[in-house]
Parts: sequence; structure tokens; C-alpha cells
Amino acid sequence: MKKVLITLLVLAVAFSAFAGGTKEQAKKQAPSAEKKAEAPAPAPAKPAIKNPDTLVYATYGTIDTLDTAKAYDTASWTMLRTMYDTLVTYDGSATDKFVPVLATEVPTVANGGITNGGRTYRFKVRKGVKFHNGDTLTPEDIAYSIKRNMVLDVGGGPDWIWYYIFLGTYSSRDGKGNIVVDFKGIDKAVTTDGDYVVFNLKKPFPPLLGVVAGAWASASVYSKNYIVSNGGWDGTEATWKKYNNPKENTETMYDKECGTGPYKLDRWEKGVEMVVIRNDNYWGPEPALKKGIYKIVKEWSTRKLMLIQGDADIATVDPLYYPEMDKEKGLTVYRNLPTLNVGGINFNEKISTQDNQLIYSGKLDGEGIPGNFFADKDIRLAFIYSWDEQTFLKDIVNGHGMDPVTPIPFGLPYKDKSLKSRPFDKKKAEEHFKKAFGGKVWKNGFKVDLLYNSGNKVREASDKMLSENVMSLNPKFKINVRGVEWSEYVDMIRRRTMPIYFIGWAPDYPDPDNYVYPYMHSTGTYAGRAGYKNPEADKLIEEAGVELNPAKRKEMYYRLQQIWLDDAVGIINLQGVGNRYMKNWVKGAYYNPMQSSPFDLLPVLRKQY
Amino acid sequence: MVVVLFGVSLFVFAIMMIIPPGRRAAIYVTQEKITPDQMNAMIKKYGLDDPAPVQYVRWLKQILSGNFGYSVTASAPVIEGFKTYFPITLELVLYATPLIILVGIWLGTIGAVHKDKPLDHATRVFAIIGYSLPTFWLGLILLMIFYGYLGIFPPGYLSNKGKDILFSPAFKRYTYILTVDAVLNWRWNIFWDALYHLALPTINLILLNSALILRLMRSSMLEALGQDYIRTALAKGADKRTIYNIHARRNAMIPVITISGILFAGLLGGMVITETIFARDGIGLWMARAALQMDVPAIMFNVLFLGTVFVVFNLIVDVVYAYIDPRIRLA
Repeated sequence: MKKVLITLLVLAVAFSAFAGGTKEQAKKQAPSAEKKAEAPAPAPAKPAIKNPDTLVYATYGTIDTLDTAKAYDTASWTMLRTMYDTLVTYDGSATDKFVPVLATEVPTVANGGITNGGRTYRFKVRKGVKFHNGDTLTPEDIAYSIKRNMVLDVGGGPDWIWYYIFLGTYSSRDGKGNIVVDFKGIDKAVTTDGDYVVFNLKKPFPPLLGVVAGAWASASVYSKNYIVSNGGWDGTEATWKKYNNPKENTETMYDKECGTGPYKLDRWEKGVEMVVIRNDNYWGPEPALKKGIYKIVKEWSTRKLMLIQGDADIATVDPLYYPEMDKEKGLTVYRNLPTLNVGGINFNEKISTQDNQLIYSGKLDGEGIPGNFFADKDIRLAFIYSWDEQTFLKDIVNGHGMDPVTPIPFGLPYKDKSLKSRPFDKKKAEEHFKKAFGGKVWKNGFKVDLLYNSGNKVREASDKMLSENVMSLNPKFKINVRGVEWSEYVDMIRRRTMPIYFIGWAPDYPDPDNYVYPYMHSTGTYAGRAGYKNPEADKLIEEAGVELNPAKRKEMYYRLQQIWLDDAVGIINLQGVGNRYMKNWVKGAYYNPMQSSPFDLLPVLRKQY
Repeated sequence: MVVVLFGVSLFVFAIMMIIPPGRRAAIYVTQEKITPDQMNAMIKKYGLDDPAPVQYVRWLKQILSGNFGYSVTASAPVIEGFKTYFPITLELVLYATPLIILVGIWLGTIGAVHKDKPLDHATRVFAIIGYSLPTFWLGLILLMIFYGYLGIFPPGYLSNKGKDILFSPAFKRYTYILTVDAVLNWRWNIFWDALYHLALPTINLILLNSALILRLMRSSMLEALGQDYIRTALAKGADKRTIYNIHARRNAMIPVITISGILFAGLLGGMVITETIFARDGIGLWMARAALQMDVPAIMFNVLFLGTVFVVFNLIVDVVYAYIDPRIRLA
């Protein structure tokens, strides 16, 4: 036994000796903390900057792919932003002002860049720019990049936007997966003309520059030569169908890159971390930091400790943890940053009744609801009056959100700020429940499931608050709040079985069109799912989407916002407002709501006191 | 073994097929913006609505040609995911399991030899604490004390600088087990770096898992100490240390060996929480993610792999029995 003890002792000493360097740091920090307590004492010594030439970002989003034709998640796009350039980008914090990147100037009507009534955009391409493999950028690379993304058109990916802009459709395929577009349409979408690349739009699309600025990765520019030599689409009509809608990981660029951006891919440990290194041949300003590490750390406590210890420079902090992080020292906090993400509770006016256990009996007999339950406006109004927005903002999101009232968030043009949400009013809620279905709802009661995706505490608490408020009106009202796993949730979307549910929207481009279309157009993602249809709204959305006159657009979007309230389409209750926590040695940060991850700023950040 | 694995694969696949195609297609969806039409197209694309036997035969053909499919949760082909995650788990298990067994046997022996004395009570307290502490809580406490307060033993499996060396062309990956490869590459800084990152999760596993071995060893040892041949030897005045350590302990170890084999195999797939807290992306964490997100190729591969591990370990345990107890060999 003695031998064992001695061995353990020796091991402990060895470990302590090995850990000496780090302990030394801890010792150095301790006196500074003591000094802080003494009022007029000199400023405490600042701890040494860890990894001074590297930015470490600890977060939880898994990177899906590096192929810009497929990447449609924040994590992938965050990484791609550092490796790829776009023709133009957002001007600092602005979402409606742009600066040239691979273009030499931002096209406008005044400089002749926008012609043909807003249907043609000409970008003069910067010369002398090199891709990471040494190829020189040409206008053909840019045209190829957009066209290849259209050719791939990965199901559920971001490429619908190009089809919408250039062909007026949403996909190259029909609902059964058959290809329904002609290659000529794709080929004509983006053409070259000497030093210029020309975008030929189907109809005017005012937010085009917001899309080109890289709301999603599909606006990134890559080397045609690199892709073709790696077995990718060769740019011809003969082969395009072969590359359409590839299966997982068969997209040519899923684990490689060839952009012109300030950073290059160093390594990708799938599900663990991705490392990018500085592109020393970058044509633009040289980034200060040599390396960036995107580290996946799922557990919050571990992420927090890494940030405090300085092993992470920036960490993802969910709003739930803001109060505990606010007590920590050595951090720079950027507070109350308004996002362009909105969320709320949607009503399904055409619930599928087939094998649908969420609506129980499927009848208005007190033990279920019929498929058209939410088609009755009085029901929708009753739920809306049962919603307590003030309590939600104060107690559930702890002040980290605002009431956007309509789907168009604050911060975008054409937001009607004069509109107000309906107040929390139980009396009015009761009145509408009594009117609904000729009084049957009040007499018989109902039973339904109210859903949220498991793990989302805000959505869970919101659903519970709403259900309790509704149930308090009549003991015959029964609402089960239920969390569902992602797979179940997605399946319910497909089967259109969800009667009422919390859902959010993050923008594809910063324009009201990208909000009113999904929420209010009868073929929009959410309105289509919910069976909402108002011909006037459809017409206004279509017209506003192509209108170039700002005054006319404003009028149309204002009207649409009024329709949202008049029709009681849903409860849009949250526009996120977030904080960012960084080590106080990270400098140069700013905030743009279209760049939702702080890692996007890698090229402009530096580490210093 | 092949029959067992075939049966396991058939069983697991049948269970997976009970889950509707729409839920299995969810693994390919990254946004809630998806439309019902896009979902239906996704089901068609991956043949998720084909009859179950058709899907099973397709999967079987695939794996017989060495293609285990693509794991969305690993963002890589299944085999590549396995190569990434398994060595991280294996390394931790290789270090932790012998220590768990040694600590368990050692403390169990002490408890039995000093039955109802303070040392026995102390081992009992240790065992109860080990049994009752939630893995999650203990892991976090260890991390907070050592990393958060003392600034030592960081999470992850290697430092950033260590990883630069690990992924450089100069570093050859012979076994994919870091400490072993570090020695083979004669990179002692990587060896110590890896060991430094192994310390906390290993301690965590020892504290949690040695309790079982300890209790088993104690009761088994007590039974052995009550045997006639031990009492005879003690009565004859033979050396106590020899009696306890050689005669009694050897016979008391049979049940411990059984449990140790199961423990080793179990740890290979069941360290989800330890891996989460210490940010060591191993196979347990991968399996948990795969199960939650219905990543069928990853689930099927890991089930087959763990099935193989259990079968092999049962075989090893049987062989070790025979080595320890000649009566089994003779029978």
C-alpha cells in the first residue's frame, strides 16, 4: 500500500510541475483581484493575452458543409464568410448600404450600373485578385459561381433565392423531384461582358444588393477552374442535370474551399472544430489575426469557463445566462443588439385531420378541435387577446426582446412604427370565444396541443403562459403544451398537422419582402403551411416586391402591416435583442444584424489591451 | 458472431422503420423554413418511403461493399466519423478502465480485510459517494475546481498548439491514440499535453465507476476469506499478506473480471456526459447526437460496432477466467 501511495504522490508532483506554467498565471491573477478591492490603488495588472495571434470562438452550432450551394445554416456560413468574398458587402453596421469588394463600385442607377428598369445589374470586376489556389479572378468565375449554385439547387438549401430572382420560380424541380427548368434560363441569368459581370433579372428586385452582399453563402465567389478540376460541374448544359440536388457530402466543395477571402481553410475536425489561417496574399487589408478557431463546445458551463479562463475569446451565451455573465470580470459586453429575427405563434387555418392526434377527436365536441378551428377569426382574436406581451418581454425573455407587432422587424425600411399589438385583455378574449362557431366553442369547450421544439425554454414558457391564460377563461378549454423533438416537429410540418405552434424567421436578405412573403403570401413558407390566404395581400406583396419607387413601396408595406393586424393572422411577439460577450482584449468589433455570428468579424478583429 | 450481429442489425433496423419517413428525413433539414413539398422531395431522394425490406437490403449491400453511408451528425461519411471520434473515446477508456479496476480491487480488498473497522467504513463511504453522485454534477464540480479555479486541466483533448503539430504532415498517425502516436513520433510535448487533458475525465470516471468494482470485490473477497482453505492457512500461521493477496484475492476476482469486461465495453459507448462536459467529442457523444437526430447510418454502424465489442469482450472474459481459475480450464 505504501508503494501505491508513494507512486500516487510522485504522479501528483509530476502533474503539478507540468501544470506549473498555467498555475503561474493563476498566481499572477490573484493579487490583481486583491488590489482591486483597495480603492485608490494602481490599476491591477492585466492578465497575459492567451493565444495572441488566434481568435477562438466557442459555440455550439455544428458546421454542415463548406459548399456554398448547400450551406444554409449559421455555422457553415460564418466560416464561409471568412474564406470567400462577395461582389459587395454591407457597409459596417448598415443593412441597406453597401461597399464594393470584388466589384470596383456598387452599381446604382446614377452610375449606370442598374438599367432596364431595375432588371439589369452590371458589376465591374476588380483586377489582380487571386484565389487561394493561385488562380486569377475573372468575371467568368463570378458568373459560374452563381450558375453552379443554381445547377446544384440542393433541396432545402439557399439557392431558391437565385431562381426567384432570375427565373421567377423557387426551384429547378417540382414537388416530386423532377427537373422542370430549362438550362438556357440558368445560363442567361448571369453573363459576362468584358470586365463586367451582368445580372439579368426576371423582374425588378429592389433587395438584390442585399442578396449579393451575402445574406447567405450562395453569393460567394469561387474558382471555376478549381471546381472543375476537382470533379465539379464543367459549366455545360450536357452535364448540369447530373449535378442537380446532390446527396449529402457528394457536393464537390463540402470539405474544401477555393475563395479569394482573407482566410483559408487550415483543417476541419468534423463536429469538433474548424481552423482558418490568414491568406497572406489577400488583395485587401491584411487581417491582424493569423488564425481563427471555431470550436464546438456544447456544454454551457464548459464554454463559460473557457471564456473566463481566456481559452476562448468569444463564446456563445444564450439569454438565459446573461445575468450570470454580467457578473464576470475581464469581459467586454455589447448589449441590446437588435437582431432581424422575429418569432411568434402561428395558427394553422387548414389543419390536416388525417392521423392527427394533436387535435384529439377532430370535432368541436369538447374533446378536440376541427381542422378549420383557426379559420374562424374570432378564435384567432380570442387567442391574440389572451397573449400577455408585457409579461412575456419582462419575465420570459428578461427584457432581451421587443414587440415587432407585425412580421416586419424594427430596423428595416417601411416599418410602420405607429402600429400597436392588441393588448392582453381577457374580457375581449372571452367575447370572441363566445362568438366563435356560433357559440359552440364556449358551450362545448375544446382540447388541443400547443407545440414548441424541445429545449427552447422561451418557447416553452410562452406556450405555457398562453395556454394558462386561455384555460383560465373556461374550465372546458384544455390545452396541452408539448415539446417535440426536431424530427417530430419537421414531420408535423410536412403533414400539416400542427394546429398552433411557436416558430421563428431569420432573414435571407434585409428587406420587408423577405418577411411579408413567407408570413402573408398564400404560397409563402409559413402562410402556405397555415392555409392563410388574402388576395389583396398576395397582390400587394407581388407588386411591392418589384416596385422601385420607395414612396410606393412604403405605402404597400404599410398596408400589408395593417392587413396583418386586421386579419389576426398570428401573434408575432418577439424581435430578438442579444448581448455579445468577448474577452476585453478583443478589439475592433462592431455589429451588423445580417452577420449573426461574431466570428464573421475575424478579418477586422485584433487582440490587444 | 456474424449471426449475432445480423440479428442485432435486423432488430435495430426494424425499430428504426417504425419511425415514420418524415421523422427520419428530418436529419437532412437544417432550418424550420422548410416547406412540406421540400420535405416530400427529401423523402423521395433518400428512398425513405421504400418498403422496409428494400431499405434493409439496400443498407446491407452498401455495408458489404464497405460503404456505411453518410452521417449528418458527424458531417462526414460514417467511417470517417468513427475514425475521428473513436480514438478519443478509446484513449480515455484505456487509461480509465485499468485505474478503475485497480482502485476498485485495492479498496475492495482493504474493505474486506478490515471488515467493520474504520478503513472498511471509509471505503463504504467512498463507494456510496461514487454510486450516488450524478455524473453531470461531479464532472462540472471537477471542472470548476481544477480548470475554473486553479486554471489547470482544460477541457478538450489537446491544446491549440498541440493540434497544430498533430495535424501537421510531420506527425504520423499510426494508431490514432494520441499518447501512443506521440511516443512513436518521439513528441513528448504532445504526450504530456494529451495526458494533461486526460487527467480530469479520468478522475471523473474513476470516482464514479470504481464504486461498483469496490463493492463487488469486497463481498467476493469476504466470501473467499471465509473459505476453509484460507482459515486453515491462517490457523497454520502462514503469511497474511500472501494469503490475502495471492490466495484469496485471486479467487475473489472472478466476478470482478466479468464486470470489468462489461465496464470496458460499456464505457466505449456510454460516456456521453463525461464527453460533453470535458468537450471530448467521442463516440458516446456522437451516438447520442445520432439517436436524437435520427441519423440512421450512424446509429446502425455504432450498434454493430458495440455489438462486436461486447461479443469480443465476452470471449476475452471467458479466456481470462480460465487463466485465473484452472478449474474452469479443466471443466
